[in-house]
Amino acid sequence: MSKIIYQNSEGGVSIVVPTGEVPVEDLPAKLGLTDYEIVDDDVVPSDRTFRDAWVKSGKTIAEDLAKSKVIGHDMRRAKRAEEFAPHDDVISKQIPGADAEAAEASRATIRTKYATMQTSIDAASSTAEIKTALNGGAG
Amino acid sequence: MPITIDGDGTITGLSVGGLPDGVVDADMLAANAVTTAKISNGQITTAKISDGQITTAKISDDQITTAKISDSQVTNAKLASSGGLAKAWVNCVHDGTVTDSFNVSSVTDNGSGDLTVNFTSSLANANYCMTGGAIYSNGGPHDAFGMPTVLEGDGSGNPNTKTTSACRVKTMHAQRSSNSLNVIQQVNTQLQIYMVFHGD
Repeated sequence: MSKIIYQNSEGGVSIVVPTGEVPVEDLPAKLGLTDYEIVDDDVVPSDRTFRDAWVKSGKTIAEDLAKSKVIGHDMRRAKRAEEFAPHDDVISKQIPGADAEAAEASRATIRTKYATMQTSIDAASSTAEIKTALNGGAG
Repeated sequence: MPITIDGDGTITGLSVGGLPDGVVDADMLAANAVTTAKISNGQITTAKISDGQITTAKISDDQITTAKISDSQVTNAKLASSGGLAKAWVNCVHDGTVTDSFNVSSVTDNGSGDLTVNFTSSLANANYCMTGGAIYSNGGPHDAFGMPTVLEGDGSGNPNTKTTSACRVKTMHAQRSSNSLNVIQQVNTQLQIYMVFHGD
């Protein structure tokens, strides 16, 4: 089955997936599209990690590196917050019996880990390197 | 009884059945002589009624029973004005791939958790409501629950994306572990989204 791709007004790329009720070649007019491409399914990337960084490039879809880095940093912050959470609880709630100093030490280790990740993401020259950095490797 | 031909042009003394067949033809009957009471039910066969004689006005409401309506006669167009029926529905995944649908020509994937449902036949107005839900799982059961929400014009210049021909929705999910909304997780390929549209 074919799909329709077009650059949307928000700077990204939209992908129209037909249901079959209307022939794909009739959909552009029905949707009011003037600048679009009808492409094969495999043109659309299956890896959606950086979906919001996709841009239309002719009849293909590419990943904008700068936008991908912004997404990568969002993911980094989310992962960091998740790792911080249990230690934040110990410190902020002053849970009896918990070791606040140990919690702070763990937080420091996490901070260092994610500072390195931040640097690696910034230095990445491809989205593959951003993913490597997010997985703990050097960008 | 003797048959008498009177001088005033009348005949008396004829008994019922006294005239041979073929003598009384249609021309001998006055137009108002055949009343409804004179026609027995068995005389009105289907063949005696031409198609044009059966008008809507001739059919009383209680004569149209459900049994008289075949399934194929109930078309979507005939149901369009019924407010109690869904005008469109779709079961799809995060990238717009449709599992099944009704009155949906396509689903547009605008980005992570950002879909537009395009209707095959437009609704009468944009006052319809959408209900739906979503399933998200990162491998185990009950990891999170998802929800789609209609994305309407926000007053800051963004267009109203809930129109008679399409409805743009944002989908997100709340994870059990943190109980926080996280639209980024929408990229997971296991998400299933259900949306139903009721309106005019």
